[in-house]
Amino acid sequence: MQLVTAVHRSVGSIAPVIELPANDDSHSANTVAELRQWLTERLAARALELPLLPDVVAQVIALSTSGESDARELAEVIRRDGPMSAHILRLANSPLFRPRTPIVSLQQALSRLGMTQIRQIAFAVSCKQRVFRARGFEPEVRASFRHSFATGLAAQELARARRWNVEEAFLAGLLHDVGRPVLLQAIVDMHGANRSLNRSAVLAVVAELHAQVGGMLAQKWSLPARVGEAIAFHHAPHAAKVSTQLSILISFADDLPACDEEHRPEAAAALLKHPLLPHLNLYPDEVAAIVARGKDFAETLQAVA
Amino acid sequence: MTANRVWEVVVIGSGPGGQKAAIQAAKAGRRVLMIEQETQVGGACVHRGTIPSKTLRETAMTFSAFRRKGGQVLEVNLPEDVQIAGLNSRLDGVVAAHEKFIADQIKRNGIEVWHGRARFKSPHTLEVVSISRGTRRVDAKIVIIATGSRPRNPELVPIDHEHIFDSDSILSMRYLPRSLAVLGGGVIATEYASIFATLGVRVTMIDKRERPLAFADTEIVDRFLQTFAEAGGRFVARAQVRSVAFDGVSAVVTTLGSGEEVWTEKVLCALGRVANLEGLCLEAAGLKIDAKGLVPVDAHYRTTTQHLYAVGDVIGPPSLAATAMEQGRLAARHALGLGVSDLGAGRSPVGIYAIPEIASLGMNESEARALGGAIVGRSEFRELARGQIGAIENGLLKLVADASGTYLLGVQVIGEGASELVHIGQMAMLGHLPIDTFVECTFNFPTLAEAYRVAALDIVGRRAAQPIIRTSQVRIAG
Repeated sequence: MQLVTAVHRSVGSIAPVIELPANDDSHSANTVAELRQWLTERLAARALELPLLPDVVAQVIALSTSGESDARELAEVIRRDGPMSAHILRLANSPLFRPRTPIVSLQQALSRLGMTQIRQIAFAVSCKQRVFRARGFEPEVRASFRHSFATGLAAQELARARRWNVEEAFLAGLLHDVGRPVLLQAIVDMHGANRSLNRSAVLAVVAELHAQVGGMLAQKWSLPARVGEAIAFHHAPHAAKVSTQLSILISFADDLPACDEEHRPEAAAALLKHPLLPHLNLYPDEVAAIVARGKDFAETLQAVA
Repeated sequence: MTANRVWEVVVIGSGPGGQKAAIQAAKAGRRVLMIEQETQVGGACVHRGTIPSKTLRETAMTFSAFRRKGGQVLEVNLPEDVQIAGLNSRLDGVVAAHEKFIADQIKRNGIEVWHGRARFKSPHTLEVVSISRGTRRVDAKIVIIATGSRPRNPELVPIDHEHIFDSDSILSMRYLPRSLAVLGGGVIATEYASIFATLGVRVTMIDKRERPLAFADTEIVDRFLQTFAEAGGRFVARAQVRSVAFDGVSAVVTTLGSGEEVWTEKVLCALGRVANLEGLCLEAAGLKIDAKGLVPVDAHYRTTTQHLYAVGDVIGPPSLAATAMEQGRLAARHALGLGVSDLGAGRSPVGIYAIPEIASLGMNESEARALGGAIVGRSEFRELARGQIGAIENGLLKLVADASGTYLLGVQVIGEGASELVHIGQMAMLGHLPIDTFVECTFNFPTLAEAYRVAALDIVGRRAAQPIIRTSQVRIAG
């Protein structure tokens, strides 16, 4: 039984990001303080609508955990989702998996990557398509997704080094910033497509509230409580109650230079002074081994993001 | 680098061996520094080994006991997606309590603890490289190496801690797998195989030998295998693992030399452990490791360099927490010129926390027979009132006496409470008490301890007719 099984159980009808009706007083919410107040009130009243888990993810999870499905059946489900098929093929050919010969079919890719990877990719790609989007903020959302996926990759390597659960770390890393696009979309919807937005104010408020919203989304998607907490507390990991270690790991992965693709030696050196490093008890050689994989992560990102 | 004044005793590692060495030295009034590379004290025993697996075992035992003892009153089944974290919900509390106990004990004895990795620069000088405090120098009069071990990672087993685990990562699984292959037949393999089988996982245990636990009494091991099979486990004997590979879909395929393929959801590789010695720069201290990757020591745990001692897993079998503790204590005493008793020499019990539990002490039946003969007495737990009440029918106690049936040479036990029961025999052996002591003693009724009386009566019945030796006539050794 896999970690994400609980997710599929909670899935009912599927919908893309739910459009919020424009708020009557929205035209006035365009400063940091106004946006914060508007969003805080909606969050407190649980009036901020959150997207449902994408359909294809639910199906992939159901098939990959049923114990009775085979690769052909899974390939069929994925084949129906064109962008996802393309992503999976690109990823299977990426340096992370180093195929000896090019992988040309979905079934071959499934065999190469395995169920766990396929579930992760399905989650990542679907989130990208259905959740990581906000009109007018495409560059920011694209960057956010790339960063999230890289954080997931880094988190799973950190977890492997610490002998912690690898799958859980990837999921928490992938979704740690999921609150950002959700908030951006909510603000865009609030203002309507044609109204001008104070971009810096929007991004500041999103930065402030995204972890809280991510935690709420994790709850709505019935993700494991530990994952939800790591998402909600990735900027204040010591405040986490049930999964402090995972929260610290995600917080650290969030700061890995590899996540930004720019593998700068000075950034790697700075990482050795990271305040969370002693909590993870990673020695310089262990950090260096993970940072050294940054190139692989970056090339994998090219395939997925 | 910061210099430091000379420490009288430096202990590297805070596991069972290191703790007891440091505490012994501190109790002798010495200034002691303990160096630990993890953030908490306790070593793998507390954080990855003994304590976590035994806590999970306790849950499995409770589950098993409900099924065995519940009569028809309760029906107990584990949900299909049960979380290991849920089964081990007490673990954090147990680990925290044990760690606090150790930390308090270390503090109470005035032992200083540095967090970092130690490496020798010369026989009396070490460097401690810390994550947050840079490098510090340590000068030491005596050094005790107790750095423990980690799982061996054979080349043909691609351990990824996701589908193929080792004993350090197996409990990071969040959900119970439907099936598990356990590679190996040692203590760790046996414990985990039986724990997971009891929890309802389809376990296949694969070993190159005829039986697991090669050092143990064959009758006891056969009893274990019988119980393991009843729990749904399968033991594949005389098997060479040719390859292990994730099939890329949902299973790990373990291919054996016979050509058989064992398909399981997860694999646990428990093919031995290796000593944690790299990084210590032992050559700078004038030490060489042997062909098995261990530190050679003499009977007092002293290495070839006079002031350097080594205890626990770094010196090899039996690699048990209890023996490491005693080795640490004895090493410190010898190093400090304190008296060392040989009372317990060769009489350390072995406890295997499988389901059912196994314990042994001294010689087993075949060893005793090979050394000049033995009379063996047995007591089946199903013949004891407590065994019936507690539904512990599969238990067995064997007392191995000398050829005349007078003195105890060894004790072998399988069944619930085995690791406690063995200590009765240990005291009898240490006190050199005759077998008849067990016959003349009054044991509480109903108890499993009565098994000693039953087994002793079995020996009495088997040996040539001779008068019972009164305990008052027996000279107590030591």
